[in-house]
Amino acid sequence: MNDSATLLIRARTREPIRPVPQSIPLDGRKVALGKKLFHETALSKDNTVSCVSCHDLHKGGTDRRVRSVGIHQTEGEINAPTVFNSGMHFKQFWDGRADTLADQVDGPIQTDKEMGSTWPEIVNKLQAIPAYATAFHEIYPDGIQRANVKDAIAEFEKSLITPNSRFDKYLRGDNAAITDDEKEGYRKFKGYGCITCHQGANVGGNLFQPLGVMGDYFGDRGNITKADLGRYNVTGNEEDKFTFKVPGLRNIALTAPYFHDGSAQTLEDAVAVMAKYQLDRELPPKDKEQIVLFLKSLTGEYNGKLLE
Amino acid sequence: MKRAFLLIAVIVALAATSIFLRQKAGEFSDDQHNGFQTALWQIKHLDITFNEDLLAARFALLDNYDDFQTRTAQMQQSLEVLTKPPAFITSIGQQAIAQARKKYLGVLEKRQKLFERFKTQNAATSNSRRYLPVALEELARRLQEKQTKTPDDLELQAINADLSRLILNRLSTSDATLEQAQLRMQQFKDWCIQHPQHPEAHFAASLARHAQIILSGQGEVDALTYQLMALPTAEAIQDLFDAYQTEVTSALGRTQQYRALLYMLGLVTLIILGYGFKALSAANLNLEQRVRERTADLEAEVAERKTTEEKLRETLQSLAAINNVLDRACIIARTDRQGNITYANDNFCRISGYSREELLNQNHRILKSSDHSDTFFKEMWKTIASGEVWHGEIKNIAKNGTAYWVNTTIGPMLDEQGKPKGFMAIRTDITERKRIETEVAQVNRQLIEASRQAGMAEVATGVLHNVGNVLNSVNVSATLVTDSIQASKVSSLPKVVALLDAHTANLGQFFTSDPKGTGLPHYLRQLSTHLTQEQQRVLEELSSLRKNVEHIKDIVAMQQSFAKVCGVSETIHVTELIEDAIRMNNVSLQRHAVSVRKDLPALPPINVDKHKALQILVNLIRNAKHACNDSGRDDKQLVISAISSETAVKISVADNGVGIPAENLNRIFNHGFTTKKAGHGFGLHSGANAAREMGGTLTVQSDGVGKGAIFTVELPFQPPQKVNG
Repeated sequence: MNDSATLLIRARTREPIRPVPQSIPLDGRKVALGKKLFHETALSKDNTVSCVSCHDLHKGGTDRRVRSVGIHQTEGEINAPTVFNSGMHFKQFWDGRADTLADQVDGPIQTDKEMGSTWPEIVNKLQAIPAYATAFHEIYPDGIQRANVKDAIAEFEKSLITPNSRFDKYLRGDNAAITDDEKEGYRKFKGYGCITCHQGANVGGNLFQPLGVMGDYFGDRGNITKADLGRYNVTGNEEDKFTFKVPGLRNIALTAPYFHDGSAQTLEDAVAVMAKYQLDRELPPKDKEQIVLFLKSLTGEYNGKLLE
Repeated sequence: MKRAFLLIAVIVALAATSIFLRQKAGEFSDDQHNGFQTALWQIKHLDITFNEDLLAARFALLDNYDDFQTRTAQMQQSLEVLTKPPAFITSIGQQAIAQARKKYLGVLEKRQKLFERFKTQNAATSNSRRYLPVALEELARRLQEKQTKTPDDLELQAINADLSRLILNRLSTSDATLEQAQLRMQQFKDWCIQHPQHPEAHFAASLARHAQIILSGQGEVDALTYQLMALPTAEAIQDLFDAYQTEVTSALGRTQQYRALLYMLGLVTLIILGYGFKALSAANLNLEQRVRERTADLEAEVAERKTTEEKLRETLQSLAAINNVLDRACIIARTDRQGNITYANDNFCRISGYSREELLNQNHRILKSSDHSDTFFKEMWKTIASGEVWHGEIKNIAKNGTAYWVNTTIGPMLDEQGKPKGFMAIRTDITERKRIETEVAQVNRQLIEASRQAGMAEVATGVLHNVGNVLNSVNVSATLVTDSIQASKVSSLPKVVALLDAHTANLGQFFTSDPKGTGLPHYLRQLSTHLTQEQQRVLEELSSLRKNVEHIKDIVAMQQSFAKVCGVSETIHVTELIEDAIRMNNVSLQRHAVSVRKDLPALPPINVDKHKALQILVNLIRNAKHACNDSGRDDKQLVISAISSETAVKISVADNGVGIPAENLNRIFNHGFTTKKAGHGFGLHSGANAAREMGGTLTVQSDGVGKGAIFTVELPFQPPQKVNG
């Protein structure tokens, strides 16, 4: 490696975005059990919905719907965020009401419009399946318990990281991994200030921010729902109204529609809305186009295969 | 028979006690201690790092928040360790630690909430802070480039220039500039409302919104930063340290007690051993006599012998048992009168690393270390040679060169005349205790160092606060220059050169008939104008950059000058001097919630070495703050007052802190005297010296412990005349 390449790498390690780790230490048995549970419809009231129903690993970890559909084909209240890289979020859910992935599990399972079940019911149903009884007892001395189900699912979700995106290769020193337009897009992503919130390994996911810092997003959109109140629903603090966890932008090209209300159908729309309501800046079409190109370079690999 | 039973019973009791004591003496576990202490230091370290990172984030020197997450996880791990205190901690200690931990968790929770708000606010504010100067410049450029300017344009240009000057030159967040900025902002907004049709109205309105975000958000971000910095995390951690340290000290004390008991047990055993010897020889004598006297009475003799043999056997058994216990518990050596080893037990061989063959007939000196003075050994020899028992702690060197410590008792073995014919030494291994003692001293040194660093962090906070604001302007200027250079038209020059190169053979024809050639002069003219403008812009930006860097240099120089003593007298106002001294302590005073009352009448100016005077006052205020803090009271208060006589001014710093006991009042200005846990005993000593050098005095008054203290520095209006030659 020549000197300038070394310099380049050193410079890039100081970039506000960091590469997704190639792997993280996990308990393989728990991951395998968690994976089964993640696909298990018995977790829902009428055995029709599992975690993958809304977090399809073949659809970027989402359902690609404006709002998710739960049991009895009921539409939920919010857009399902991707499950990929969710372990790197500082809190879970759009309103950050769960501190850990394990606590997050409680949410969808017990929500009427999602899986609509209860823990005693789930534990009973799982106990009736011999394969689970054995698998649980091998890992957890106390067998099938609410905490253990949550733990196993959380461990599986932690394994859903997507390293080796073209952009990460660029960060690691491969200057040819992204095109000049994408580099320019990244420069503008930083220049316009997107980077202030969308930084770190997850390109976001580590702070809260009101939607509409520089403009009245909800006034312009109209028809305000309870879900729009965001973090306020958790804290009850007036200042938390319309505040949400800044979502991570990894694999963002695969997870349309965007925002908690699924209101942006394309990345171009989403970038425009962000520029208007968060930054109060006018984006020339060329800049917007380049930023979108940069965002598309954030798509990574799961299990060694590029996501699509 | 009866006596033999008694003897055995005593030996069994001794053995049982010795096992019990040995177990108790080993109660203090090094591994557990290390694990727990590491967790405590990790917490302290993470806590200091948090504050550093927080400031970095505030001044846009930190570009992502991932590290905070990593550190939160590390903190949780360390806090988890604290729930499992080492086994030697008493239940009271466990409660104290649990309580201190809970208190710290409470503060952490508060901190987490504040920090979330900080991140949210800081993100929006810092974006606008970065964009606003760029936008102001952009608007200025757009208006400048207009061929014909309407009165509206000129008005907007003026307002824009005003705001630019204010924002770009705003080096501190003082209230006065804030008010001015607010005023200019209102003008800007009003103009936008009044001129909705103006082509730049839309851009200007957006600019005004960004300025508004800065004005409303900046204050809150700074307030949050200070609230976060002021959280008593360091105090809560200190409580944890204190609670644990108390337990370690008492556990070490207990261990030492048990070791002492174990050692006494050794002595008792030795006495019994002596008694056994005596009994044995008495029995022997008895037997011989009987053999001579009663050879005739065989039957009786047989019977007698049977009894005696049995007794002998029992005594020998007892002796073996005693030996066994002694052997296991202690290091035993016997020497002749010259100190040559005549007996060494297994423990002795093991600890010294020599085999028995190597030790026997060697002088005991081979184990000697250089740690003890010759007098030490002379004293020892004098004691034992006179037939007395000597006791002390000795450091020895084993065969492999490592040192070990033994608690040693040496007693003489006396001959028939009562003169020593040799010596017996019983020792116990105290190497570990010595090591732990050293380690405790080491920990105390580390604590002092950490406190010193905490003090440095406070100074750093002050510098960062002042420097950080300027740094923002520097960042903006640097970005503008970089952007400008990146977008520069210079890059089109090589294309022109290439074009010319391609036509070197027929340049004339190229310029006259080739469409590219004919356009070239016009293009070059445009390019030249553009580059000149660009150069001008970059130069302006660089000059602003240089100005800001100069300002940073000034701040740093000022901070350094606080630390220097330069020895030049100047005329200054006493009030100003006091205000300066308070300002330099301000951050920590606020942080520890110490209120300051000033009682300062109008005073004539004074001619002193400002830096020396400042140094004294800063020290007095800092001490007073510590005294208040240590008192643990809620209404911590300093009163700084000054009165003047005809020739001098007296400045007093009074606190309502822990006070000073009468016996310390005399020693308090001595070098090295301190009551602060982390103090060096240097501040007051050098303060008193400095006051003397300036022809003044430094005195103290205190009504006793818990009653506060008043330090008074008296300085003459004119410095003493220096005697020349």
